[in-house]
Amino acid sequence: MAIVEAQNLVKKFGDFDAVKGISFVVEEGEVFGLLGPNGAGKTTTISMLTGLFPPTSGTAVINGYDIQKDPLQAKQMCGLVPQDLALYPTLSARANLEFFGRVYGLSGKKLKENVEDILRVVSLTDRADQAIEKYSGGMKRRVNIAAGLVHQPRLLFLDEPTVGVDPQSRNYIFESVQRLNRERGMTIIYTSHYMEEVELLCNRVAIVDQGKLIALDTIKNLVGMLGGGVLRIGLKQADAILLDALSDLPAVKNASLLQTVTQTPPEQKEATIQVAQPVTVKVETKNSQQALIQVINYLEEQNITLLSLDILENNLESVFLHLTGKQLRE
Amino acid sequence: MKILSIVWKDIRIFFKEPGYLIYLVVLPLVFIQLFTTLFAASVGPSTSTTSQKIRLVVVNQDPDGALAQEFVRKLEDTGTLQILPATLEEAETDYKDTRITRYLLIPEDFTEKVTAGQPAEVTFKALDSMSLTIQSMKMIIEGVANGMQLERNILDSLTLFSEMQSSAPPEFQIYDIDVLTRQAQSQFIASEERPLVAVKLEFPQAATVAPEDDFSMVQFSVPGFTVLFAFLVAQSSARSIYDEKKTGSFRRLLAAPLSKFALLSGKLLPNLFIVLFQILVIFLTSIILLPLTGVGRLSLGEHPGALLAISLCVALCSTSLGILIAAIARTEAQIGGVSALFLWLMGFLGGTMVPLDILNSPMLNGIARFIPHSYAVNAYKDVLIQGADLNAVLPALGILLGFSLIFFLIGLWRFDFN
Repeated sequence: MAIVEAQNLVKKFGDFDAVKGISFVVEEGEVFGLLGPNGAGKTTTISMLTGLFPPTSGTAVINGYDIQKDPLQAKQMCGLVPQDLALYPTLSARANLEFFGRVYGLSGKKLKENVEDILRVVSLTDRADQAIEKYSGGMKRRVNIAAGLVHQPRLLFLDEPTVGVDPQSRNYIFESVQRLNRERGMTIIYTSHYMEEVELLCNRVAIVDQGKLIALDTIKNLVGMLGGGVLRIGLKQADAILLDALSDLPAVKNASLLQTVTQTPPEQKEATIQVAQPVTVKVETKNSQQALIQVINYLEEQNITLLSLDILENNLESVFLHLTGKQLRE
Repeated sequence: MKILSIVWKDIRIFFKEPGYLIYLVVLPLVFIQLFTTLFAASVGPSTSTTSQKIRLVVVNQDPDGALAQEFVRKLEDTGTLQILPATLEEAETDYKDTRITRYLLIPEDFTEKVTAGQPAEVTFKALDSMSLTIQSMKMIIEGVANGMQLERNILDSLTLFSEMQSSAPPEFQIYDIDVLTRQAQSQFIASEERPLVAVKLEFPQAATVAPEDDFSMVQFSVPGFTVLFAFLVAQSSARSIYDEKKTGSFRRLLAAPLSKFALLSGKLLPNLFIVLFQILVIFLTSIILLPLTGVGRLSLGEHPGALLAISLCVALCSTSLGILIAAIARTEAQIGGVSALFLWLMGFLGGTMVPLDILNSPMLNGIARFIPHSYAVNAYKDVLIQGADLNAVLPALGILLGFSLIFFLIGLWRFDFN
């Protein structure tokens, strides 16, 4: 059963088109990833779905409620965990959670039960009455997540929850997402520009770039469409004849010039030999091992100097590279 | 319910921030104390030599009369009044020029009338008839007058009995102690019903009180600084909205099942309550604690209910101004800058720090007509000093509500929920 149905969502801020007609469906019980670089339109999309602002055009339905026609009912279904620590530091964790529970309509015994429950989930019962300004960063993160869960939403939006977070807290967030989905059947929409997070947590992924949805599928299917992986080779220069010749190699599917070249994030699983990058050629392969040998042999035969070589394992990063001709950037 | 949750949350945050409390509640009291003390010292002789005695100019037109002299002496003997003798001409001139706010006039036939058992009348003229000080002084004067009258009556009775008994044979001397006591009591009742010395309080219909002493300056400084700091709450209101936007909690609230109206109301109502709380604390402190510091007690005037109406309008106007500042200032620095420009400058031009009638500048008076502070200060002063009622300040309250509406509509129009 679909819990989110987004149809051709568009958002314009003046002359700037932040989201250019995104459509997708999220099934109940899924962990759905929205992957894309900064500025791709992920947060704008989430903001429209959570009713922060209306779409310029298009519609979205949350659990049967249109976000524009029945915004309050749609919002009641959702919990939002923003990237920032959206809390009141001088109040205690309990006071914060009680407040957010009340704005979602909870009161009395139900409010108390939910607050106690969520404090247990985030392991903060012992320090619940302490002002959160005295908490460690990780503890604040836990309260930040708890504040989005206190009313027990059916759908939870986690908007880049690991940005600026230490590794321990990041692991805690991963565990929480998996536990909430597994034990409580909560549907989760998780936005990130870290592909490993999305690979680890999500069943399906929508890849967004420049306000457009450029791919939507399971991770397995997305990675599978690349075949044998991608080589990135740095050369002094490259022309159409060279690209055609590389494309004709038996283990190569296609060779093309990269539009932009940016620094590779350190966590990317790749071997890098960097010298200089006047020109970078992307070589999509049927089999990366065989293609590597064939490309190097060809360049030697043609007496072309190889300046750098990256071998990208097939993952969402290479999928993004394949689809956009550029990398997911920090 | 949801609105109240936001209100309650913001009020809790306010009271957990000592800085806000000091800035908005303690600081105005410090200003009032300093302003009153400094201004009082600059306009007249220090009251320190006479301790806490209240100065009273007395015009004795019966200077040779024994009872008039006795009356003045007994006033001084109360220990609460410092008697300053003056001629009628001096007193009237000073009174008209508002260098003094009250004086007591003893008529030239005072001794003659009292001695003859005829009613005599002393006149107590005061600019501010309803202030606690004036009322207290009137009670002191009446007490002295009644005491004199009773003493006079009893002495007369005893004299009469003495005369009657002395002319009678011993067997007819029937006025024993019981009869004398009953007669004295009868005279006491008669003295209450038919006062021999009446105190007539005279006061103008409308007057401006000059800064004769500390008491009067409290009446000036409390409304001024109350209005100044009540409007400064608008800055904290704008900052609260800014902080919510900065931390992302505003976004979280926008994602909650709340209408924008409920959200904005929830963010603004605390401002209203905080202003009312602030005014209450300032007024209570000015009545209870300020006198302990020697600067005088605030009098609430004849119609304290009107103060509530003024305070509500001030709180509403300050709240609306808070929306306007939150709408036009997008950064912390802008909030500080806009607040300094709007609130402190408007406060000065609106006569909250220095009364505009003292500055006597047509230009400043003209500017003040476009500043809500001036209407609020004048409304408070009308009630506190001139004893005005709600009807008298309704035009000022209407203008304050008009300002509130303008601020609110512009603020709402410019407010960026996103």
